[in-house]
Amino acid sequence: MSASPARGVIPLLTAQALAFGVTLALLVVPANALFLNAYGSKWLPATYIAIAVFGSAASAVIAWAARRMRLVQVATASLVALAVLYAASWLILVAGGVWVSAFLLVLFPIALQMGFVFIGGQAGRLLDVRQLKERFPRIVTGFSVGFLLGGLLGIPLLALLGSTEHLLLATTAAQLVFLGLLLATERRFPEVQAAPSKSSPEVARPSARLLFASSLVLLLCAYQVLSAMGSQLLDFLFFNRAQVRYSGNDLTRFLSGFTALLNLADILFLALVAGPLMRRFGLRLGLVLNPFVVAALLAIMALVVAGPGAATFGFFALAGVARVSDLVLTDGTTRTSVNASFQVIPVGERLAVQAVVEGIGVPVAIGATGAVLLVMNVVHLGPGAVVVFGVLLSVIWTFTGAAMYRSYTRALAAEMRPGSLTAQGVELGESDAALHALLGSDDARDVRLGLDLLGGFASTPSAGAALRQASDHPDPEVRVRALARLAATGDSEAAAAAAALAGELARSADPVERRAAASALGSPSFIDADSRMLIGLLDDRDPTVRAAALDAVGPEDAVEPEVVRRVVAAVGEPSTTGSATAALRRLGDVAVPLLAEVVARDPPPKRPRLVRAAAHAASEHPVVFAPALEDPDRVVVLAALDALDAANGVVPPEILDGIFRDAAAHAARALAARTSLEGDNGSLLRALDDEIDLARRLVIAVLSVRHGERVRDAARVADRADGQRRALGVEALDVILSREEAEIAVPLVRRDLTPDEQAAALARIGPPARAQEEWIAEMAEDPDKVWRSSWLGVCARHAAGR
Amino acid sequence: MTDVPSSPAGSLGLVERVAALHRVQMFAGIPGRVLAAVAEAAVEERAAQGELLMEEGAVEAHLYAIVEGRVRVHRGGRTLDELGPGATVGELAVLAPAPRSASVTALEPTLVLRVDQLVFDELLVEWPELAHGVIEDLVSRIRARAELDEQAP
Repeated sequence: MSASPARGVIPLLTAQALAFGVTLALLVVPANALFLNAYGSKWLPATYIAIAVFGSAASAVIAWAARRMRLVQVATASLVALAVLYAASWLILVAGGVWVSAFLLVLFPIALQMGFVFIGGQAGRLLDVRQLKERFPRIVTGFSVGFLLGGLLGIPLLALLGSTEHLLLATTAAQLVFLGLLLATERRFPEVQAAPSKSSPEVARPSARLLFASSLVLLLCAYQVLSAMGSQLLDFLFFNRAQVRYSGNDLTRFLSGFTALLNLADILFLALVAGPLMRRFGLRLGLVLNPFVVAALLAIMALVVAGPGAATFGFFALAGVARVSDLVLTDGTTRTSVNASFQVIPVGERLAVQAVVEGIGVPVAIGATGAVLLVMNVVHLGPGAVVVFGVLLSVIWTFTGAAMYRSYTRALAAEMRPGSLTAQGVELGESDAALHALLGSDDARDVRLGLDLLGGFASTPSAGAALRQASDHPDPEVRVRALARLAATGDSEAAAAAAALAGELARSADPVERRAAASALGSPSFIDADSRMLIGLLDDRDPTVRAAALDAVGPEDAVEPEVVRRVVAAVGEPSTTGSATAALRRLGDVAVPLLAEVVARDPPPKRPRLVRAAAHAASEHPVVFAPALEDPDRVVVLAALDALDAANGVVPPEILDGIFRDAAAHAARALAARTSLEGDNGSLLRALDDEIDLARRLVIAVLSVRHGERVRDAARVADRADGQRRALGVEALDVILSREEAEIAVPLVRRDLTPDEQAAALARIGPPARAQEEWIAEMAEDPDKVWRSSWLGVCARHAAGR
Repeated sequence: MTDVPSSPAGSLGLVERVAALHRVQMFAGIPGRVLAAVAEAAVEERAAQGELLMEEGAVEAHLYAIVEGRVRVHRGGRTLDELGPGATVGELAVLAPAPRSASVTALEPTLVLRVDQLVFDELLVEWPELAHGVIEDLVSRIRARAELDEQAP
């Protein structure tokens, strides 16, 4: 389920594909007929090598043009050039130059690749990754229908025009229709004109080194090469066997019938199977299904060769089945998966990469296949050797598909990851002058910043001088902190002065001075100081003094039960929660028993806060969290999960499963209730939305614990981004999560869905439909304790009372 | 489950109070179950037309969320802003208590909810995303003030 593309996009792209299919069918039929009549099939591998040479040159020209021109300009120029070539070939053939049929055979796969680059390029600009996965197979169906129509049109056209070479006039006409449709698409959807960026030369003109530095691009290239080699090999095997069994007009009739069957199978697969298959299994299956099926069929053919032999009908039938399987899977799953994989490559590089991968990689693969087949001919190896080579090739292709999927998921996760704001460490050497300027400043804020930045460098002679200067500063906090720093370097005089000053400040009536005393207690020179001063400051009436005292609590204070007790109590106070949480982390295990007691005992409003704090201090201690993870209040469960996830704590899988099931059921129930509400139920609707959001957060928290932070990254993108990027976020969730998880999480994360659409997506696990009054009564009373939300109950009773 | 307080004192019920706070931009994203505690602790105040709700220079630590009516924000005789239901006044005081920078007078009978700093602090700890709402609110207030200053003769 994804938002629909703009009206007219799919029909126009499908119409282009249809015209493209008609064009190519009207090219390949006369080209094959003329070539086989003139030269026979033994020279077919030579045409493959020619394809490599001319295909690479053509795609290099396209890639060069793509970096300098808009997609539509490149496509227009290429399609016009092809139309001119078809017309010129007709003139040459009419003049008796049958050699041009070899040129047309070479031109066929090049035109095929170019057409899909142009249609795929437009689709990539007009559809997001989710829409591509769902709708691109339908566009490709247009090509198959066109190819079938073109093949069927060949017979009446031949009767009408009188000679095979005249079919090229129809080829030229169909090519011009394709061009017209492309220009119509451009006029209606100007966004297909997306030009290469002028501001970033690296992006606009990616060098080969830059392109192939990406493992995904490398694997995409390898995958396309292996796919093309596999298809070419199967094509050759089939033609080779067909020539053995048929000849003359029988061969032509058989090939016509097989072409019709091939395209019919392709159309049916694309129309009925490919979309649901890709929606259900995604790229995980889409990238490996084709090579796996081809490998399996070739392995069976190898067994047949080893047994009854290559001359049998069984071998011939298997060659036909393999050819059909490869074509339908290439169009239905492989091409769609490859196009979707391109979506994680930045848009500025995408067309250039596509042109290199599909335009150079594929022709080279076909040429390499031709060379291998020629060598096999020279050394008189039969079809058995071709089959064994094919098995090896398709096994490597399968593994490449699996590796490409992994690379794709990594690239997606990297695309989802937010940028880091972590600053580089301060280099004292380079910042020495600035640091001394801060420490020597009259402004206490500058000196405090200098003391913060000083870190562990106080032992250097220049730092010592700066600290002695700061120890005479008028600001008491600066003075006591500077003395404490000096004391930490072993200066006993400074230590005595710091202790005396801290004691004096702690007794002051001014909270600023008491806060200064508390700040100084955090210094290592005060480790052995009397804990009564710290306890007194932890009990201070001023919350800022208490927070500073909490900041001064260190691991050495764990031996003081009174300090531990005060730190745990401070977690519940809003003004000291942050400092107390950090102090708990430093106290470590010693606080665990007290924390467990408080988490179990404290009233509900404070429990989530306590649980969050406890996770930082004791994430390894199930005694604290087991009750929180099974708390009836989902807010407490969420707090525990989030905190444990952040602290890398361990959650038993069965508990995670239980939370996930409960959250999914809660979301489905709340959505079902929400869709039944009518009229003025604003507060109740809002309360239900809050419950849906709570369930969504719980689901994401569980999945983040299971699969790592990349779930939160993807959910964040799916939630907050728009258009293509949001689709990438949803796609990332799809590839990270299992199907069962994705079926729950994806509809909840997608904010572009209406509550009705979300409810429909989760209806499978939701309760049966009910009347509004029944829902309100259930939420108000909650007899089965399924809602477990006091606020929802209040809103439901309010709605019932109106 | 997180307990929700029942029927606070005043003419508005708890649900109406939460609904009123949800209309305030900075509280709009906070779940009702969290806001219910704020609504319960908030104090209803009514001001007659022309009555001073906040006085410039007064040191207070609370904000007002306007539920009904309209108020004028002014410094002396100069009007800085006019606000109605869903707006807040005095939010700077709950972030950093200091003398009020302007006075607020009711332009018509007005009902407000007073939220004290302690309650606001609790809410910030409970729902840190509130900080985004506060920043957005302050930025829009500063922009509006800057535009007003530019228009002033």
